[in-house]
Amino acid sequence: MHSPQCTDLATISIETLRARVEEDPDFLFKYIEEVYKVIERCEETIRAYITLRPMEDVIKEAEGILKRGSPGPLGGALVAVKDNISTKGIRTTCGSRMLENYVPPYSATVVKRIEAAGGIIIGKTNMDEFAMGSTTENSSFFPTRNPWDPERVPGGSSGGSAAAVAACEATVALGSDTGGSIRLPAAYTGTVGLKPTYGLVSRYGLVAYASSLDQIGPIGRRVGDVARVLSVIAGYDPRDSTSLKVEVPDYSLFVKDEPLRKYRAVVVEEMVGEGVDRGVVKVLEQVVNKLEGYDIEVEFRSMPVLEYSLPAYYIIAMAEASSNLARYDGLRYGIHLGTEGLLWTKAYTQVRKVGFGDEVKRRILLGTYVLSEGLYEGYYMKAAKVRRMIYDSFRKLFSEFDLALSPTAPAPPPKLGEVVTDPLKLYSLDINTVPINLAGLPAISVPGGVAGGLPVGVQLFGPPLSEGVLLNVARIIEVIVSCE
Amino acid sequence: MEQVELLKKLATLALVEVEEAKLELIRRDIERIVEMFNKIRDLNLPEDLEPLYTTYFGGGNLRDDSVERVKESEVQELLDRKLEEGYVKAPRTL
Repeated sequence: MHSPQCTDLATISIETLRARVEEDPDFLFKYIEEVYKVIERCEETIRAYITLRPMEDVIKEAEGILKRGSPGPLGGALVAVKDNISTKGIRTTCGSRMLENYVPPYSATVVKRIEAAGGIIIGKTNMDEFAMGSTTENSSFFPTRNPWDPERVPGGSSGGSAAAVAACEATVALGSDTGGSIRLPAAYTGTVGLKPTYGLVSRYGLVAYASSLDQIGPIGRRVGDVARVLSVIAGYDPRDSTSLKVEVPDYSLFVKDEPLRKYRAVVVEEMVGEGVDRGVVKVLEQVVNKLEGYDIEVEFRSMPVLEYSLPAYYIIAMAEASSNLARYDGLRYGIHLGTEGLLWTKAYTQVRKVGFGDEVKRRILLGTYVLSEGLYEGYYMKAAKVRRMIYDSFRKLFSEFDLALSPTAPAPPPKLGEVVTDPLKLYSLDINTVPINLAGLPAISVPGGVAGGLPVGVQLFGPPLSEGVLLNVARIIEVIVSCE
Repeated sequence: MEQVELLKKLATLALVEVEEAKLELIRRDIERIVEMFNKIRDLNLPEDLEPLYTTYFGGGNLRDDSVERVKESEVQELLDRKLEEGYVKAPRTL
């Protein structure tokens, strides 16, 4: 699916770009110029970037890649990076006034790996402040708009990354996903977004929101692009204590138009039940019917514990956030307001009052509340127990099935301003994505069709390290949708 | 959480100041969110159900050294050597 902003040249895959550059190195410059033309034409409306690198700097870097003799697995792809991932020498704001002038002295492991593989960082994308939101309206700077309908949100919190990819303002992008922040914007913008198994991709250099849930992952216009980027960024990193020591396959090998083996899939009834838009369910049903034609057997199962996933997720995420965000005090990190001479509590409070937006303050307050004496056992401890129940239920489910399917979002993208003022409505957009983070599972959102003229994402998820299976089935869905 | 006073106390603890004009709105929002959280608080869960804090089971390490098992007698011997008038002498830190 390509949004109206895309041109034939700007929409090419990494594989094509790489092949064309190997044939004719000057093609890379033509491609870069084309993408910048798209940006010039669309960015005023879409506003995907907080910081866009000057084209001259990007061209200089492209020259460096070509001098290496091989364009690498990413072939000079232009990679947009969410603004909570550290980039040496490039401002990293986290969508917050608190870090509006912060320039990291080092790059995240994923950024280093992208650059070593022939990717070029084109800019830093807009996001909900500190990744706290599902629409990108909570950015301290400006909201990003959905390329399919600029009156609507692109989802969040990696909304800038998804919008940049959908509008062909980048080849691919990196996002982060704590409770759906890659998959929801991918679903809303007709792109493909993958949240890896917890620990598969290094978090070194990712500004922490809720450390036990955060993961970095790719967003692309095609399953093949996402697989290629995942192969580059996945793998053990000694700088991340939660990094998994596992062998990383070439995920591109899983991107096949036919099932690599016989799969058994499941639809969890609670994820298509009450509160899920009928148009969205219909898209999923159509996908399920077509998959059965590929000899992928789909059954239905109930998982009643999912009723508690949303409150459990928000209790845990807010508790971790209130601790992680304690470092923003103007002394260790954050804006400097000239608070010298004030009592430290007053100085810190002043910095946090000015630097944080309302949603961040709300989550810090709630995190403090659920961790406070006398309430901790009733909220945080019980949420962690519910997390165990969800984790065990998924383990049981995946002892029987290879993967599961659900709608990524319960409804098509809302209009700007429609949900952002009501926190409960905003949080409910994550209803189908948060259980996956609580269990540390991999998941991918792939366009499954259209409802009311807007893209609808289908979420596939599976047991730990089943990214290959998910990419294989996502590619089959991509083939089904493109045939239609 | 009904009282504005509690909200103010939380703000003090979290070093976050809430503007007076927004206090009522934030209080109302927080009250609704806490109501959602109460679904968890009101659950009857088995005492022995083990909470899950992380889904990472890779055994990663932040430091190069590793835990070594020593005999209790060796620990006592080590302590005896370090004790001065019944107190453990620790390195000066300030």
